[in-house]
Amino acid sequence: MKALPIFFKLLGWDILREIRRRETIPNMLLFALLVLFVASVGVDRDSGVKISSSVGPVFFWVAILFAGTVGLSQSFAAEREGGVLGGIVTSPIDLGTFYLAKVAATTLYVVVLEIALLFVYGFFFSFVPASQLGGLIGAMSLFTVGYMGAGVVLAAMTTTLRGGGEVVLRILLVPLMIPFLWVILRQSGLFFQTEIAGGALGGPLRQSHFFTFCVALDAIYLTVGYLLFPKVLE
Amino acid sequence: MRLFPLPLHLTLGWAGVLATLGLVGFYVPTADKTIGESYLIFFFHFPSAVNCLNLFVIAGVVSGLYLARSSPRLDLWAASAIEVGLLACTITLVTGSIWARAAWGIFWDVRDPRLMTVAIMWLTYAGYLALRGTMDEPVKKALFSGVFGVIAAINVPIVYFAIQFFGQSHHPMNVDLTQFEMRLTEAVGATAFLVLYTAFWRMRFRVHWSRHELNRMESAFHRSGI
Repeated sequence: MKALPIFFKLLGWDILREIRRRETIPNMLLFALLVLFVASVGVDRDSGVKISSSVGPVFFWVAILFAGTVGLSQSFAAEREGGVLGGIVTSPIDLGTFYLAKVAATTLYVVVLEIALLFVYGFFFSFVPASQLGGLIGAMSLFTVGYMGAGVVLAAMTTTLRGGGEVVLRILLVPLMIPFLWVILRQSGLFFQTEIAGGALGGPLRQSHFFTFCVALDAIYLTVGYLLFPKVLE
Repeated sequence: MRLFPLPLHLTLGWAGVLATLGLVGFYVPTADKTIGESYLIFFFHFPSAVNCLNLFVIAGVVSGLYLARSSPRLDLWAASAIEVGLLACTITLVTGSIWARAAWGIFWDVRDPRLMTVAIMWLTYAGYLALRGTMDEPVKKALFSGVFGVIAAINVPIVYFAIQFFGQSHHPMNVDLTQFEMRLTEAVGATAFLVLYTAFWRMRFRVHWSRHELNRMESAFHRSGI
């Protein structure tokens, strides 16, 4: 069977299921909203706008990181409940194609979440990075592709563990993403036009250096994921 | 009956560590030109760091081999390498923090890419052990550990190239050992820790393998209905 039509079929099926059930995106959004809300309460308003603009992007990315794990832990829920996963494994569908479709679907959900979260961020922290929006969305997309590339494999593994393995998923995935997040946070100084956490993480990288790093990590995670995912479903 | 209670390789490893301790205490110059007395901990910090990276690379390769061949021995070699690598990583972090306190006045610096990436690597491999702990079924445990062992090995090049890539590090790329006494002590320390960690690795594998064989015999016994 040809891979591309199967890929779009699986992607369409996942999106259709999300539109009907409306579970993943609203749950992720609610979780991220809670993180940003609690963070905005924690920031000392009396100390002025400077502090909130300096640590705000850190909270923004932390909210995305943890909300992403909520989405990932739900990404195989439907397959697990209906016994669909067994059907897919025994069908002639290439499991690598199934992996890529799953990564594409979850990436789409998380990018939707990130764009929605930008408005929430503007509301709580009184700043929208309008002038750097293109660069920020590009960085968010690149981060999300790598994040979901690794996350889908780990979610497929942990979904079969005792109690759904949600805690184990976070324990495994979050440390893997910290180097990526660290570079993104350094670069966020440009996007949010501030010095992140008082410059504690270092200044932004050269744009070309930054995008090379992101694309290289994405390529590594996607290749490793593509090769290992069929093994996990075995 | 054994004349000596410890296996030979372990005895050699500990003897080497004691010899390093002796050289550091009585032979090597007590202060380096650039970083002063605090450099003495280097002879323990550096071998642990190198062995930890080596063991994690080996674990990644052996995990990959397990996925290709499905031999339980390979899974247990990889798991043992990660356990001992995690010990070496812990020693690296602890000795590094002590060195940092003496040299920079602080135990930890979040701006330092080498420190941060090593800490992240420690967390990743601690996660590997947590993952193994959640599963009882041996084939599934070996398969998932193999997959995560390969993914986690991505950390090693990140740690190795952290300073070149991220820059802005207090951590020295290398310590310039100018005198013969320093180079000799470094060589003895590196050899001692290599032998010691290899002995630990082999011991952990034997423990895991014995447990695996015991479980296999127990299952066979239950299946036979005796």
